[in-house]
Amino acid sequence: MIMLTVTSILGNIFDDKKLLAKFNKMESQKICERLKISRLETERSRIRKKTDLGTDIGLILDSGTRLHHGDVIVSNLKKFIIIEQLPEKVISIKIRKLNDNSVGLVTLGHVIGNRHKPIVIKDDVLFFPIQADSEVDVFKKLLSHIINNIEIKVEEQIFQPQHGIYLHEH
Amino acid sequence: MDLTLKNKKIPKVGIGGPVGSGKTRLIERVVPILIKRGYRCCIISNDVISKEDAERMQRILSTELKVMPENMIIGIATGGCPHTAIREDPTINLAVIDEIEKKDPSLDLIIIESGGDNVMTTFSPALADYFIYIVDVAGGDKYPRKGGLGIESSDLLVINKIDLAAHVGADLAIMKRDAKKMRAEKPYVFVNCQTGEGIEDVAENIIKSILFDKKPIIKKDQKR
Repeated sequence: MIMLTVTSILGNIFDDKKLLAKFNKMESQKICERLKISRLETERSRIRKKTDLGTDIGLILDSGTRLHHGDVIVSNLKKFIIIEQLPEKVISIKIRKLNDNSVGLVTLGHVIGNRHKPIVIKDDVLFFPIQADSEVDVFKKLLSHIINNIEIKVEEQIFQPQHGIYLHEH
Repeated sequence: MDLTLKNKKIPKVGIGGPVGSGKTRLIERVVPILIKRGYRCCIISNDVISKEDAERMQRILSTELKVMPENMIIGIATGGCPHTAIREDPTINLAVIDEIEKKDPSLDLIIIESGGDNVMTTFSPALADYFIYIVDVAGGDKYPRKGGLGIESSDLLVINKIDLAAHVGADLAIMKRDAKKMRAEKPYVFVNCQTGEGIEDVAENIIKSILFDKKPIIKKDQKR
């Protein structure tokens, strides 16, 4: 099969109503294809991979371009292909009663930053990715002195680091 | 030239793995195959405090095999933790790549060798488009199932020194089973960099996945 070369992103179905409408239409006809990629791959400017329906894709993007969940890479009469970021394991830390504990907050930042983890903060919950459940025990131990003020959980999610505080953005 | 490709960069492959796993030898084996097929390559070799690997590759690939000029093999002494030069802060490597891209934009491929490091080696996507992680069987057949960023996130896992397996009590069937389990559909290759066994597979993976099977442009006056 011939490889389909993609050199730019057309938009994102979550930002663009027209693309979302087309996605819904193509999805209802079961011809929407997904190129499934990991978080690490979202930063790549060159990827060769097959979609879930078997289309061979060669992505050659300008360096520095970042792929996002929902990006449309092919849109024509016959094909509609979107980027689907795979969910991964993350630790969530719900912060309670830490407003008057600046030392605790600094420690939390130090422990996570020391392990080169990218983070996302939503309301009073902090998220960062892990590779294995065994990491939870390590973090519980490292944060033992503030453990009563936080709630640690493991969950699966599509992890999209916040712009500007992401580890690999230099 | 396709105008939509004018701002695109030269494809870059990163090769990482523990000290002594065979990173340099793998490059010495795979580069002549790529060059024979018409692809023009440049090599950047990161070492901690010496430039020994770059000098060895210059001797083997330039002086002995004469497949590429010496100035296309560049050594960087990173100092400190070698993984930082390819992961957290690849500034030195990016500066060297920038120079190469200005000097010779028609190159087909840049290969970046990391300094020997541990199982958490990975390349910043800003630096490499494709990541090959290499281990050897002498580390034990437990290696693939122990996971880590290298084993799990690399685009190609290379398991080297398969001829030693019987001598060090490593079971290749176990390594194969675990590599499959840890990496899902991502490829892995068993090689022997001394004899060249399996190296064609590595070259094929690079040509397909990063060069997109592009036909090399061979100039009439280009020495082969």
